[in-house]
Amino acid sequence: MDDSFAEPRIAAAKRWTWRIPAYILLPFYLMLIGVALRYAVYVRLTGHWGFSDYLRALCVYDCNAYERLALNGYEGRPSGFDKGDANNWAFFPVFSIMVWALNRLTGLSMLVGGSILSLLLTVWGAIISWPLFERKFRAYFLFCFFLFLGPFSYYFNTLYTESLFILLTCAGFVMLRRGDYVMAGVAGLFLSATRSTGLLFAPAILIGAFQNHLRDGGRPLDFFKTLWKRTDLMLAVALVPVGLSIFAIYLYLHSGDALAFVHIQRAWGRTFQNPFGNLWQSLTVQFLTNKNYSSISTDLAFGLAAVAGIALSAAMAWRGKWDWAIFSLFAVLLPLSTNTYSMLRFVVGIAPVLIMAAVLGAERKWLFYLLLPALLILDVMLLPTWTGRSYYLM
Amino acid sequence: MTVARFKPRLWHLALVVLIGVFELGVLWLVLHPRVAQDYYDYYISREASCFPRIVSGYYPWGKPVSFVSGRNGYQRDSIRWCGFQAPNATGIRSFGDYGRLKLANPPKDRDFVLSFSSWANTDQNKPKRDVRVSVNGEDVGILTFTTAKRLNGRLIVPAWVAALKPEAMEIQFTVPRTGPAGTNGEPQTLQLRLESFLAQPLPVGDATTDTGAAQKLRRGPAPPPRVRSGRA
Repeated sequence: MDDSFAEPRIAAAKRWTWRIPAYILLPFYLMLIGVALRYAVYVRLTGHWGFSDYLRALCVYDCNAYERLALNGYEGRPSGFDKGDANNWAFFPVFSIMVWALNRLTGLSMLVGGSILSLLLTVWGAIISWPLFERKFRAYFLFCFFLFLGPFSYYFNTLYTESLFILLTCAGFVMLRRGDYVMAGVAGLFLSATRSTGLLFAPAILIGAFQNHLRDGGRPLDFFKTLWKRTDLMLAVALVPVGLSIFAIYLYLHSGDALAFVHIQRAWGRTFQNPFGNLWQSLTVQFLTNKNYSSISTDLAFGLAAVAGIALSAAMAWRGKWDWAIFSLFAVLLPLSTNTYSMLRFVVGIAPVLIMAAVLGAERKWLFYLLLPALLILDVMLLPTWTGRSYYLM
Repeated sequence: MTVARFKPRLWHLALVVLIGVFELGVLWLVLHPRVAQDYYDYYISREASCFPRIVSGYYPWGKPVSFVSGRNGYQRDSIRWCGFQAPNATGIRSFGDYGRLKLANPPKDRDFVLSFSSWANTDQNKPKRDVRVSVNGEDVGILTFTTAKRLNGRLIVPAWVAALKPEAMEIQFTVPRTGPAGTNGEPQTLQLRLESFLAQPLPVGDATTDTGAAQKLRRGPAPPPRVRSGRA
């Protein structure tokens, strides 16, 4: 072996070893800045210095449900809400199991441990998403900035499943891009155990495989002709619903109803209907029924969020990312078919939507530099709105 | 560019078959729920418009209950069974097609007078709204709301109606639908607000049994229940 060649290689390897790439450091830095900033705003607004008080203030609505789930598990006969028909069967288990495990391992409270977990999962999700940006660092920066310093950063700071769902979605699409379909199926398994929309990763796998086939120079017809031989694809698609099915079995043993997580949605006023009818109603009700032309009602805000999600799904399709597009479109339409409540949160929880928005927002420099302060200002301004349990952000 | 050839793997297929069998088992569970009838009616078939609370039905017969928050009905809240929201400043508010109260251990062989103070979310510009009152499944009267003012109802429950369910008297207020279903799939209904309630057992032989249900006892098959409007 020629040492003259070997030494520079070793030196290069050493340099690489000690140099942490920017795409790994960035989400960490932004996460720390975001936490410090919001905490400072909270202290300024309330005069309270207690950090756990701050975390408690951030823990509103479903956060309490996930915390109780981690503490006490699934509840018995429904008795919650005004109508006495709600309980926590609607909340999928994986995130709360992780919070519970962290509590057992470290002794941290569910609230503190869950909040830290949520932040770290978001950081991890951001790092994992890097290949999906195809080396567009500005877009990646905007994506990370949105997660940690944007107007919806609260979802990623407290006990909500958005952080885990984004991590798993990014992991799944990265695996899909690399052609590792079985691992993509495993990511899908955990996705469907985190939220019901995780099931939509099954068609995304098939579409992703088809796109990879075309990218590698294959003919469309050949893909379908050889599909029956693709045992890896079969396994990947079969794996996706397993997470949800395990939850269904648990619910059957617990309540006698395997679909209790669907049926209990009646307590939230959710029932399957035409999603576009629901969208139209939410976009028009404040004008046609309530004659309100002076403010933005929650219905309108949720409707606009759904429109944004659908539009960005169309943008993905336009750019040839059909796997992202189909996943995102149906991840919007599925909750929309029940009603529009919480659409802002549901749309923000779809990783490809955020990535596509970041790519579009970073394509023009002026827009990128305009968006950064706008996101930051909204993040600060919306903190009291979030801690005040506003329906807008739910 | 050439497409890489994929070699099928047996362990993939074996796992797919296993998962398939597993999913069929889950499908069987989905199709065969093992739930109580009230759960099935409310959550699965959606035929019921409310899910019953587990209540004792404890009621000191002959004593008035106020459902306005801070009063005794608020503290006890043991007879609000199904289709009424928790007591607040305006009493208990109905949701869905009906609201039900459950009163445990009614005295035997007695007629009863049901008195209650109520109002509804209507006004004189809207069509009159009839609220049907039934006890143990038998109609005992109709309340007609024509304004937003309070309506004090007073209805007779004959002994034979009370005897249909000796362990607990079930009183149902069936409200009319006022509009089509919204995005939540639930029809819009009149909201009945009960402020106070009293069930008074009458002395034996002292019943003024002039309701349709009582006539059924005396004359055989049930005639249409007499409409009984409360005074506003």
